[in-house]
Amino acid sequence: MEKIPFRLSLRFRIIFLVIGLTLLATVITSVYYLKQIQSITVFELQHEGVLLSDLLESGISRFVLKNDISEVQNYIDRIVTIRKKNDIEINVMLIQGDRSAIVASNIPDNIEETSPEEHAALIASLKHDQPVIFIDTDEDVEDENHDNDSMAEYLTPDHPDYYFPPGQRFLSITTPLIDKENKRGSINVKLSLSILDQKIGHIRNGIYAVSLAEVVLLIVSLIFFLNRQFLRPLNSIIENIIHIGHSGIEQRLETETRRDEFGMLGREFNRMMDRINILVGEMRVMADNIAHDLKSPLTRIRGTAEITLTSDSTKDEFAAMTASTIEECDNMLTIINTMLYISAAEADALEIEKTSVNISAVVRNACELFQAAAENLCIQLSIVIPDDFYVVGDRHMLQRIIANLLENALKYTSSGGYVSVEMRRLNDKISIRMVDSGIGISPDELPLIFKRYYRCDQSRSKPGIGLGLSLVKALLKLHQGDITVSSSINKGSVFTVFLPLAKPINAKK
Amino acid sequence: MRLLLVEDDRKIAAFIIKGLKESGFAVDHAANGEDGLHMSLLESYDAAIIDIMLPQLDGLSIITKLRSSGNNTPVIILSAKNSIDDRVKGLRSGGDDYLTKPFAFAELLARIQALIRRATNVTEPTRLDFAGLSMDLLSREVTRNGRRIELQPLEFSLLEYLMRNPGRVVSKTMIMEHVWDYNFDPQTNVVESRICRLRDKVDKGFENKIIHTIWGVGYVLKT
Repeated sequence: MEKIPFRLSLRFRIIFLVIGLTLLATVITSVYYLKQIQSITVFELQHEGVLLSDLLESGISRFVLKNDISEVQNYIDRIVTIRKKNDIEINVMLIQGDRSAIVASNIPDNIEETSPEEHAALIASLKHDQPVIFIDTDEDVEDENHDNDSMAEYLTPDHPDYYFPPGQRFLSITTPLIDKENKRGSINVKLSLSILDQKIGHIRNGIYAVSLAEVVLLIVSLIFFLNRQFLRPLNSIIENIIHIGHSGIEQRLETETRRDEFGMLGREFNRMMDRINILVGEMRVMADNIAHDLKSPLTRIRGTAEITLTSDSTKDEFAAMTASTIEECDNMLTIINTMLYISAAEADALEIEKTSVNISAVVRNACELFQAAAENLCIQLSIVIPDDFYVVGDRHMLQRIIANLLENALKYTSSGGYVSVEMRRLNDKISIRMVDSGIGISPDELPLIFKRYYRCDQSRSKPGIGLGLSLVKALLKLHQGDITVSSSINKGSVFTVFLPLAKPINAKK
Repeated sequence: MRLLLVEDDRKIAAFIIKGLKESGFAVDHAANGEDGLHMSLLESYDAAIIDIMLPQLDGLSIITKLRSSGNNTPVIILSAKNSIDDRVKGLRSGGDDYLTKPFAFAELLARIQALIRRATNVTEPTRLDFAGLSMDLLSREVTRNGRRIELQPLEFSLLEYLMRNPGRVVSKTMIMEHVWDYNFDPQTNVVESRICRLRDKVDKGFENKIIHTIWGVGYVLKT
């Protein structure tokens, strides 16, 4: 058995495909779900920030602008305490111009003046991984078009407002503070995304772990399944075929009982093998027949030549010997040519020249041609042929069909008998009926007479090679025609040829 | 008349040469393609018979080279292949006729004569005469020594073919093909029966018979 390199094998390709496709699918779905989770979480976080700043705004606007820091602090404390129940620790840094202070996270200091360094130190002391709220009550009004809406943006370390130690991302929500005197400030809530990132990281790892397990499971089961469903029957077919090829032309594929495509393959293959078997058998019989039909004339040639040569022969005897040799050679040539012709006709390899043929003329001429021979045999050959029926086909092939049938009729009719040929139109066909008063064909032989080399006369005493009718059948098939036969022993046979009728347009005789 | 035969099979060449010499031709023989081409270019021949399968240079190439050098010698191709494809290939390369092996020598001879006749532009006769037998092709009247002979159409065309090839043997196959346009030879004695009838009408009552049977080969019109 031929060994297929693994990397070229179907098995390798299946494994490769399964792994590749499964991985691809998993990656696509994981990435999709991660993105979804991220966007939902970010949305919630933003919601939380907006909520915080709204809460603060409503209260702080009231107090801060009156410089009532302690009220602000109280208010913030209240909110922070409420939020703290939800496990959120909030840093609040209050900024008023140069003054800044952290007012939550247990640093309840009074707000006092801070230098820029101290300000920075205060920022640094904030717990960055928790929400940070900056309340600025003394901000410069930069933009007259400031409206009342909150603004959210992401702060990454390259952002100009980023003043935390690097390495984190922040969601920054700024809500403007507006009082009656139009004095402005802002509440800025900064929510660190680090927790979020961490959480998403956990989820991602989880998804990856589950996916990996799934992938492995899927790959293993898919490979197992594909192997069982496809590779195993395929391999069994291969083994079967190898066996058939090597030894058992009688053996058949076992998959033919399956109901899937492998079953179909098996059944079709087996059917093909059956046909091949029959063909091989026919060819064997044919080869035997050809050998026999060629051996007899060869024996005659050789024998005659030998005897003529070794005995005291006259010139006339030599002449007779050579003449009979030529005749025998011509007969052998006819056998070989007819064989080749039938093979070509059955294999559809004959070049058929399709023209409009006056079949009436072809049949009449053929009958005329055989008339003298029939008279010599004392057989009455009568014809009823209407004028000018046309068929589409090859003139020489049609001649051959008619001549072969006529020849058979004359051959198997004894002297004093008759052969009649009658042509008739049947709708879109013409029928050519050839009736003879010959020896007839027995019913059990009737189905066999169109087979190659079948001869009713088993002794092969009549001249001929048993190819005529099979040739007729093959040629008729090329013309979309057909032939039927009925016969009774010692009374005669009726052969009827059917050919599709053509209209005599552009007909040439 | 001088012919060139290019054929590598010695025995085939021998019988063709013998037969052609008997028929009054001078024959040169080349046993391979190179020699064949050389000879056909050097000498002037009335016709050439060229086998397709040849050592050194195949027959089709010889014909192609011959034609491309402006040489129009009529060529008959001999081949063991019988498919229409091969026939067309042979004629397309510049061959004038195509004959498949095995062939009847009579057929080869008839074809050579037809080729030479065609090449020398003999005008189509309106009457044929042979040893007192005369045939008017226009009025379709046949007389022998002035006595009128009534012939059926099939017999007329058969006699016409024999008279067009006086002294030459024509085979049954040739008659089937050229007289009745059948490209095969039925087993039944179609030709024999017809010849028999013809002989009855043409030779009966005359001292010297002119339609002769050459057993195994065919028929010939001779005195």
